[in-house]
Amino acid sequence: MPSWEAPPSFAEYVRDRHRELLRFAYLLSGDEQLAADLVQDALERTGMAWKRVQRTDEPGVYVRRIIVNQYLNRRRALRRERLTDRVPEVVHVDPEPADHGLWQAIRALPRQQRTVLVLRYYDDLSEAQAAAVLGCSVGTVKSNTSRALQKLRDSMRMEAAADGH
Amino acid sequence: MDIEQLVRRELADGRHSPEGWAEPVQRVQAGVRRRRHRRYTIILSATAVVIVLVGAALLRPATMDAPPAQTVFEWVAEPAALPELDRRDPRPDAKPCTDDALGNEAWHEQTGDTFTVLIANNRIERCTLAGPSSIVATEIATGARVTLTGTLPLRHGFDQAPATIDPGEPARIDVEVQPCAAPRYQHPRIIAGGREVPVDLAPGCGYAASPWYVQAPLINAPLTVTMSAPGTVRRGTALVYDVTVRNAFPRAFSLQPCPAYQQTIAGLKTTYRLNCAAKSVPRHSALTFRMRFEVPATAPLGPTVLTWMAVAADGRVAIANLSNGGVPIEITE
Repeated sequence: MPSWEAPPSFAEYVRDRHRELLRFAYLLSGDEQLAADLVQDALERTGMAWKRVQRTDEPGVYVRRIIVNQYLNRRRALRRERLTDRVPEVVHVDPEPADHGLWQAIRALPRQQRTVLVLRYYDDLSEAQAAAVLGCSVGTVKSNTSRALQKLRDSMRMEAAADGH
Repeated sequence: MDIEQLVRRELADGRHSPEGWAEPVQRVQAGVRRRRHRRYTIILSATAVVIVLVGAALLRPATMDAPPAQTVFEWVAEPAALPELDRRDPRPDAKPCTDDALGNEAWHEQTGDTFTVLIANNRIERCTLAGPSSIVATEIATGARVTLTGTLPLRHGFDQAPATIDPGEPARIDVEVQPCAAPRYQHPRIIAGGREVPVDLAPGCGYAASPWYVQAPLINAPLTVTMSAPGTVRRGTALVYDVTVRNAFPRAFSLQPCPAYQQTIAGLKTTYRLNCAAKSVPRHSALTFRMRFEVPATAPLGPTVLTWMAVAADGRVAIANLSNGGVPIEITE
């Protein structure tokens, strides 16, 4: 079996985009370690199919779709977690500021709703584009967005009321 | 500021930017190599499994189905008792048989003093004939038609009553005469299919009938047995013949425990253990067993039939020449 070397175009893509992808994954998951795993997995899969991805798809859409799918199905994926002989990098996670209510409220949303918010308001995708990434209908994107925003409004209102007291 | 603007601002906040990786390309490259290695291992393992299975399938007929080195198994003089024969379970009751379902033709068998009437189901549905039949006879003194009562028990353990009969299958009823010095009745008949069926029994002081019953058929082992025997045998000598047991099915038929067999000729029967040097009849294969029957010097001369039946330990039978019941043989001086 020949040893695999990353094609130059793929290596360049990884160098240029991995931070952006880490941030995207972090916004979805709210967990740095999980975000790193999601991005690693997505880039490995993309590397395996790089020739096809280059020919037929926009790499950014392809990688994001993998990240989203893996994230939404992560319970199933975690069962297949593998052991390696490499010690994982030690990551220091700063605790979230306790007063940052909106971020806490976003993190508390169900995964599907949080994913829709990230696609719509961070990636600036249209409803149709978000539906294409999620593999669902535009109606589902709309309803999830609406429910998510309503929950955030309620959460902010309750926080404001609590502050008033 | 509305909630959508707040969400945009929150998500764009620089606090949510994790550290980048020190060597992202090497990290991803190592992961891809690991995945490729795993994929190759799976493909190689699956290929190896397929090769082993195909090889085993190709080699199997050559090893497992090879005919035994010994092609004819010699007769062994080991007397044996036949196991109890396995028979079809009693059937659940069906709709009662109507008169027109029972055929116009009745036939009979006679065993000693017992006269058995058989009548078949002519319909395409299973039906049940329950209870005893009325017996009608003629009173000798007056010539009057009288109805008699009298019941007989079933004669065999494998007789099943009531008689639930498939299309074409006969129901049976046994009738016996009560003999006496001064008979009072004659010309007995039973009522079957709405008509009187004559029973060929002598005059007597009464008649008794069994319930309608069926004789449950034997359960056959999945083997085909044929005999190869000479056309004649001299009485007082040994009849030597061959029995070939063929297994047409794709699974071997076990001969463990070793079956017994019964051979009959001219009303004489002997029972022995099969030569089970072969442990099984391989699939799609046949074994031949040499047989020996000592024909007594007193055996009746003339044409007769040689029959052969093996009985496995579980009671299933393998009957030779099933289509005609045996091989015709003439006993000569």
